[in-house]
Amino acid sequence: MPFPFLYLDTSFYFLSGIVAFLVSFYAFRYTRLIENSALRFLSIGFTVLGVGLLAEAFIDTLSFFIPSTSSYLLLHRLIIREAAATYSFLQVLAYFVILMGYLLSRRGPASAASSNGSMNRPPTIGFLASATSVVLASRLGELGVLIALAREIIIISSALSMAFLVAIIYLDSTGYLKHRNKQAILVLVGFVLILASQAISFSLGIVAARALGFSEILDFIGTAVQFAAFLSLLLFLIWRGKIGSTGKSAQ
Amino acid sequence: MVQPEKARSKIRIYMDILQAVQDDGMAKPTRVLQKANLSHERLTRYLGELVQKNLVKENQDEPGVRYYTMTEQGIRFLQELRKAESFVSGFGFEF
Repeated sequence: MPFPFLYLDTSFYFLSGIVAFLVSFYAFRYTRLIENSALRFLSIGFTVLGVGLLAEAFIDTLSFFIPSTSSYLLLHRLIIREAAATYSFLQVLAYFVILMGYLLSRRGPASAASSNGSMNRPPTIGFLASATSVVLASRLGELGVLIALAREIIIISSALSMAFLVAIIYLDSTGYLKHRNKQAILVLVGFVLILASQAISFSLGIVAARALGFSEILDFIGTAVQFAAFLSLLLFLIWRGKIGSTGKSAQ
Repeated sequence: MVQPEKARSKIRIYMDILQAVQDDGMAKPTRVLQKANLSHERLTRYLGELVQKNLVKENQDEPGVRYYTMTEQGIRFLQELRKAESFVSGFGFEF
């Protein structure tokens, strides 16, 4: 086993993925109820995040079965890095779609209700991008090249994700200041923690080649911070559910 | 400079009417009109739609005196709308 925290890491990915799908489910449900297209973007964005998180958990689990002896060490690292690169790419797409939802919602309820989102294929693009990188680098015949390429994808994707998240946090905080909704703090905290985990991923991409042991600890911290973000979103979903059933208003 | 308020969405108006009817139990149109902040013409149209959707029930005990009550379906619908509202505003979106 390459790192003792790997089981916990995988569990965090899995549980975060479930929460992402829950957010997506409720966003989709309310899209239909109140005919708000901004929510549709939110639903698609969180579905992409959920797919990425569960794929990451699945590939991490698969990597348990590859012996991490010296002859397989490079392959082991490659699988982990490729999975992380694919997930990073999916995150860029997810946060971009979520940002589109926020921008659409700022145009007002009437326009948000009449517009139609048509971004149904981002996960495919993510996997294709990663698969293409594998094929290209395979031709070069170097696993080391693949690992380096994956690292580049992680760095660029993390930087893009951070930019999108900063914009999302800005729009979300202006929405919070307008509505003064207590539960919105949990969503805001969630996005801020996701941004923090992206910053860790970004720094991880930079240090990865230099200090493997350190990068694994940093990777675990990043995943734990991201899990805390999804826990915050889960708390929001639970709190929100109670408000509706007790007959209180949201504001 | 004070910015003008955005127009309420149709679902928001439905919610305000249903909330007004639920608060009063047996709500007279004038009371709903005040609480939902609507013109008489628009209130009549929206109340008609809500009655048609079986979300509120129109009652008339004596000639010329109408009042509205919530149906079971209306109560459930309002509850779902409240949850949707808290979800939407939680993400800072407009309802």
